[in-house]
Amino acid sequence: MPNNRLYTKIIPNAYYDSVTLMRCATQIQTISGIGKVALMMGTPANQGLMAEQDLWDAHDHSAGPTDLCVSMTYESDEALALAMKALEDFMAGQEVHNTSRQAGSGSGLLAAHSWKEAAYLLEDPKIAAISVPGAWAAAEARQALEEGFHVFLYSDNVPLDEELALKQYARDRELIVMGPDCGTALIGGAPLGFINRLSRGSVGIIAASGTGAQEVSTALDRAGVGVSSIIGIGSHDMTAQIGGISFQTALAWFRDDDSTEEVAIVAKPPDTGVLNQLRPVLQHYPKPLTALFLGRDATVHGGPLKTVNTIGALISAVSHTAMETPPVLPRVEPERYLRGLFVGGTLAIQASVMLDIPVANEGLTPWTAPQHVLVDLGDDRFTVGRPHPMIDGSGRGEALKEVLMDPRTGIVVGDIVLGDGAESDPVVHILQAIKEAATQRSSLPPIVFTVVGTRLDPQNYDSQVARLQDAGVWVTQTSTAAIQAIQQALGGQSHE
Amino acid sequence: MSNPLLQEPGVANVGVDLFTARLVEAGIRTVTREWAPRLHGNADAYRRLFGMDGNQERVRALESANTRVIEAMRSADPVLVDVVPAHTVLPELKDRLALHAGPPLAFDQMTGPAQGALIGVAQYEKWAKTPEEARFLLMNGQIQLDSCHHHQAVGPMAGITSGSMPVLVVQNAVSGRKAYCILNEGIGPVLRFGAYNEEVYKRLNWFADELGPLLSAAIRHAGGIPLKPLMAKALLMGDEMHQRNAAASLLFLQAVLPHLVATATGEPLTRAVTFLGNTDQFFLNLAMAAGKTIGDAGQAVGAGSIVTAMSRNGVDFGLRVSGLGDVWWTGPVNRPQGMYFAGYGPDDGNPDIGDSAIMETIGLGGMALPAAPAVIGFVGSGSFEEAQMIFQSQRGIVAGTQPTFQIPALDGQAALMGIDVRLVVSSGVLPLINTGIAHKVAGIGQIGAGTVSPPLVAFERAADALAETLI
Repeated sequence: MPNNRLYTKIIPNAYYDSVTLMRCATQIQTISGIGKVALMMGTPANQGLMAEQDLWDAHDHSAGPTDLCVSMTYESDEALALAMKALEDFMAGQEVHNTSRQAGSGSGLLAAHSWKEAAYLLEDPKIAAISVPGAWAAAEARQALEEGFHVFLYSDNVPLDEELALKQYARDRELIVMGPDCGTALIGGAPLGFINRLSRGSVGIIAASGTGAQEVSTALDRAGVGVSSIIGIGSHDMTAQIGGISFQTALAWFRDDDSTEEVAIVAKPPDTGVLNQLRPVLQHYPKPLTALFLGRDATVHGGPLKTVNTIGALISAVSHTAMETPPVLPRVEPERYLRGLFVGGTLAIQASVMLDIPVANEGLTPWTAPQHVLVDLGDDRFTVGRPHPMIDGSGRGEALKEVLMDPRTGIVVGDIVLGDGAESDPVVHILQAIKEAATQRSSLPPIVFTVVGTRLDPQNYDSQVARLQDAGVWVTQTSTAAIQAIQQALGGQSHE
Repeated sequence: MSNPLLQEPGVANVGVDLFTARLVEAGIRTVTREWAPRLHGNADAYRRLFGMDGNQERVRALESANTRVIEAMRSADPVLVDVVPAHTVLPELKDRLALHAGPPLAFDQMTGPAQGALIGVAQYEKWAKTPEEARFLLMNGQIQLDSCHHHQAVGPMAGITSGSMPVLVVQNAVSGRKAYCILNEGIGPVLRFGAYNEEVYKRLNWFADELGPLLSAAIRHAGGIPLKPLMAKALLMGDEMHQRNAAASLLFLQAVLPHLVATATGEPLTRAVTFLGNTDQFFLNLAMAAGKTIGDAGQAVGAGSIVTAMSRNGVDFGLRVSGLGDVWWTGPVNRPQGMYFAGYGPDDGNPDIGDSAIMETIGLGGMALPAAPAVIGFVGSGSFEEAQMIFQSQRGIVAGTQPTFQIPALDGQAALMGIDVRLVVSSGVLPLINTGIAHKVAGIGQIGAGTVSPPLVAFERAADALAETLI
């Protein structure tokens, strides 16, 4: 390992949102001689995360939440100078961007300082898309609701009691809160969060979080089935505490929407009490409902409701196509292990449920352990100092390379998510890892991937798939088929 | 028919900018709301202000209190009932006590105009024979000082008010509560800008000996003059009632003239009418007293997060909040930005001073800028479009409107009412205050006019304290 030195700096009262900072960190990371880079606002949580990565002195209390913390490892002063120049350029550009946005009333983008002003500039229905840090998000959402906005709450780390208060407040005003931690929604043609380019159609989707909705909507799109709207509800909505408030609103919206002919549900298993409460609504629902409650057996039936167990089954049921036949992979030998490197949370959970392997939640490089491992690389623990792997897949690429070079690796599974907001060529990191690993080993273990995307997406589904296939990667239409193929390759039994 | 809730929405994005590009490309009407951490990064207090700390009920109670505060301010009915020597309604002014604008401040801390006006008032009240003696008494605490606001009074610029001065008595007909303000002296060397010389004393003596009693008789003859209709009319005639009171002052003259003629004759009548006709800003002091009764009506509710007074003493800006008692939440004043009379520039200007920000407190002045196209030139680029943009952003910090006050150039939209400290800290938008600019040296007088923002920290301090009450 090269002799890395640590550089840290606090820039007082310089606020940037985390995605902006991550994009900047990504740019800086491309500079040769720069190792890990963390650009974060100095909240206690962020400082803790940086300290875990040895990028911050845990005892340094001089940075506050409105201060920008800059930290990076570097090999040479030249590299550091380049990095600082890049940071300066980035911040200067950011300011220019803000000024031009304020001035640009002709660009179709209007600027507002307050929720009241924003409400004045928009007509009903109107949606507040909120992605500020979690500690601030609920108070912003509350103000938006008061001004008559529906809320798309992308922010995570919103406490459950705040979520409940918001959802009750929204219900009283006949509004909806989508989220928190809602990655995707599509409301009346308005794309919210990370979303793919979809054809309009008649299927309404209700989803707990982002990637499940993305996989279902894109697979339907590729099967020629369009989507009317996607309503996110957040991953805690079906708990006893929240009681499915947003779920019920979403159901009612689709019920009264003539452009929606049937409804697909991708959610966490509902609390039993909540389910009992919902039963009458579900049983008398006037449109076909197909539900995937990930992690629960298909025991909820009745009336128009059909329950399925996998994403693949959901897609099959809604698109009226046969389930995808999984590819037949070579059997995994004993003492060889599965490495699942996911960027989509729902896909990781499905793999965990189907294979009965927990999603790793300990350590930063669990893929070296002598056991089957599934990792959600989009989880907070893996995104310290680097962007979410959907925005920048280089970290996942490095992990993949490591895994491929490990002789104990018997099989690899993963996913790629396309769409607006996702990086422009995510497949390149996979191809590079394969190419580099191939120079070190005579043969590589089988790699199975699912690509979440459409042919309309800027990255183009077909071209991403073709390049993976050219590199010897097995590509399935659905993540379910990939997991089924792995079940077979592992000998059909579950593993601890 | 598709569900109206699922029809194409407008979207306001706050946080990650990345998401807006796709919305715009998809043809969605998109607003970006600028955001940065508020309250110095104190997210706990911020959540508390909006009921997201397990305190939802408290915040709902706060918001219903705000509705009552707005209603009390909106329905306040200020009527000019008399003009009397200040000591007759404020007996404490029989002592050596002088009132000043803004939060309380010691003499040695004050800026030039306030010190000059106090030296002047000490001589006017015959507490001192010379400026030197006056300064000595003031420096040694032998003349007591206090804020006008602590005595139901308001005063423009230095705001110096003493017992012998006649004051306008404005009464809220709804509550009976009164507010007081001295008479406007017009332009030139005047006490409120710190001038102290024979011309100043002569005018003040004439106020006390002749104009005050004349106005008193006329107003009583009229049975009181309701001020709200005059203010509403003046807004329709191009006044915003802080920088510009040209129409309001003439409307007042129109209202009082028959009663002056009925109660006075000869030279005194001529002098009174001439002075009223020449003094474009005469109505400012009436509007300020009216504003004080309106703010006090909100303050009397004793709950909520509405700003009920804003004032400046040349050093500190202070504000009061309906639910936080009589405490002043302060921060250092800013310097007004604006246009200067020939020969003067920003270096000559005094920092922001005066109780006249009571006008912005009730939604007039800088909060109603598009009402007064004639004075828009004092603000920034000076275009009407910019005034509209400012009004639009100010809309974001108020909890209500005052439908009685209409802004004709905005198709009769209601003036704003009820600045909510929570919305100021949430948006970072500050009330815009129209103001005259005093020369920093006592007695030189007004050297320009412009606008000034209060310090955000005053609102943050109030919001922090408010958050504590919401636990």
